[in-house]
Amino acid sequence: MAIVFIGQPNTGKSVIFNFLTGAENIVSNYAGTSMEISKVVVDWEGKKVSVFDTPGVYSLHTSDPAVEQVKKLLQEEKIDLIINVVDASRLEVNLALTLELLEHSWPVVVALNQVDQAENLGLKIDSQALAGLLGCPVIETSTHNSQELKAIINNYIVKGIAGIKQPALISCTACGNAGMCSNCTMGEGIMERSQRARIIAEQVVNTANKKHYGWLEKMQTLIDAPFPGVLILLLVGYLGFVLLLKSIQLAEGPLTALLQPVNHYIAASIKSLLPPGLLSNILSLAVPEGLIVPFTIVMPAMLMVSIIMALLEDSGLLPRYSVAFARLGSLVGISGEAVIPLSLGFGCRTPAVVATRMITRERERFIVITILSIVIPCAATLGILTSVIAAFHVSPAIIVATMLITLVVLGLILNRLLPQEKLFVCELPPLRIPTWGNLLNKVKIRFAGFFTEVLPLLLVMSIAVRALLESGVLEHLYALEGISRSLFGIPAEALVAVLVTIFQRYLAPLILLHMALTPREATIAIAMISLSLPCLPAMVMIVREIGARGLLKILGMGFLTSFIVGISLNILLPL
Amino acid sequence: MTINELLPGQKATIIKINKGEAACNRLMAMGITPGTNITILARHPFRGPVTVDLGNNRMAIGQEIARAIEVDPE
Repeated sequence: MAIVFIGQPNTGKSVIFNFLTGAENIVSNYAGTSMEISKVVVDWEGKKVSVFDTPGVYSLHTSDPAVEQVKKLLQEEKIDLIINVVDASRLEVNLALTLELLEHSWPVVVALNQVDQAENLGLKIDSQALAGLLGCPVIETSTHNSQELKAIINNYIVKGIAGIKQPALISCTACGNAGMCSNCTMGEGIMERSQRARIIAEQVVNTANKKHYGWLEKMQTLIDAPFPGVLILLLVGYLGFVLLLKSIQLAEGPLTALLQPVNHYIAASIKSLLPPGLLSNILSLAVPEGLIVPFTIVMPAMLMVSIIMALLEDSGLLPRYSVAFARLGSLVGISGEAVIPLSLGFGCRTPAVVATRMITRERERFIVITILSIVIPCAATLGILTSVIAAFHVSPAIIVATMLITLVVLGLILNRLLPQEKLFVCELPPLRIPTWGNLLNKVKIRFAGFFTEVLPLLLVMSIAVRALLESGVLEHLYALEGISRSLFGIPAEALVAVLVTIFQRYLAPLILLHMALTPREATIAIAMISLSLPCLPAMVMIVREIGARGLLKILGMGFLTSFIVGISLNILLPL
Repeated sequence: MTINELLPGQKATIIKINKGEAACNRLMAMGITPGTNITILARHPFRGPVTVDLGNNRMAIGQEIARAIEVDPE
């Protein structure tokens, strides 16, 4: 048995899905959070039920990656029930999709969600009348209450189709065909459907008490105005950044102190367990080293970024950034929509690559993934940057300026190479107060990656680096000294570090911190590392999203960028 | 007249979208359809996006699209 959740972006599908299945899907207050279909198999009333959560779509007749995914699911799976999640506060727009779904033969239940939000706006919706007009059950749900929907689905699962009224097979509004319609002029279908949706909405929505302005709405009006909106957004962004740096600084000392006895114990245990020799030497040094950097730098950075991103997402501020910076972005060839995946990249690039699916134009998507891979520092990279900056007294201003200049130059070049039509439309969800439950859930999901991916990877890499250092293999590469010095102005040892870390940025401090570098050398080395290749998990995701050829192009550009940055800084920075 | 020519606070009705089929379908599915009444909320400077109230839905529309949406001002 299969149940699918379908709805327009930002209607609360994932909240209801999570409530019904107990799954932990990320829920945000902006259009396009679920970019992939999630499937959970639940044991429901003794039956195995597959429940699918899908990315938000406005219509099944538009062409973008999310729509293709949903269509594929609907064609390949035998669907028993569709839960169409509808935002009660935006009924008219949402009903267009409902009408479209009702044109097919699947049984549909409409979950009229965010009724509380609509009531706050002074909108009363007659859900019974709506059910009558649509010819399918309409259940009121809110973030806090989906019990009735659960009961309906229970009933459906136990009693089968009989428990629910099958919608009459409404013929396609455009061509009159019943069922799956693929041969009519879709545009006309969409237009007629939205006109019908408007008529239905007018009949069931009581707008007599419409709009009472709360402080949140006043705030929204301020933020949505170009002035002072952009200033407020910049201030919030700056505060977030300061908070991030401060928390890393504050956490590093106490965490290092806490780890020290643990690390002594680990080193001593390894030495006592293994016979003395190269292996014992490598492991007793590498394991403690491999714990220090992730726990003292990467962990606080990832945690803080997860919290800040969750706050921005749930409050509804994130899409406001894309509007405020739409013009700025268009200078480097990206539309405002790209701001969302790009800012997600500051947390972790891997989900950010997935989030680029909200960009429907392929060329722009490639540009954004390239910028994301090469320029945007993720939480882990930021942690490493700060540690190297602190250790070698590097000027943060030079690093930031280098990154910004690279961003603009790379964007301009890509924009030239891949000219494109810029079509920016972005929904602005109402501002909301983030809920503790959702916030915790989100931070938990995002942060879980630290223990499952980052920590094990860093530990393995740390051992590999130690092995390289102890085995003396690196010494053979010192022949590169001349080339390295003349091109990049850094010792061969540091160039080797750059080359290694190009494949795994987390390694940067492990290698660099062992060396005696001047601030100038450290600046060049860390700039080359920061502006290079995406990490392995991100590479895997890029292949999944845009294919191996796309990744190869990005890798080529990454190497080139890194070398050009190194050479340029070597020429520009005073000796 | 097109959306980008309207001033903040001005109300209008969408008449026509002068764009290719794919873009039109996308806009109409998002609720930007002929016949919709809109209110301009703000215009971002330097030819930035226009924010529009479509009933209970707010949208930001880039200049390229705003120039393609014909409206009948009130």
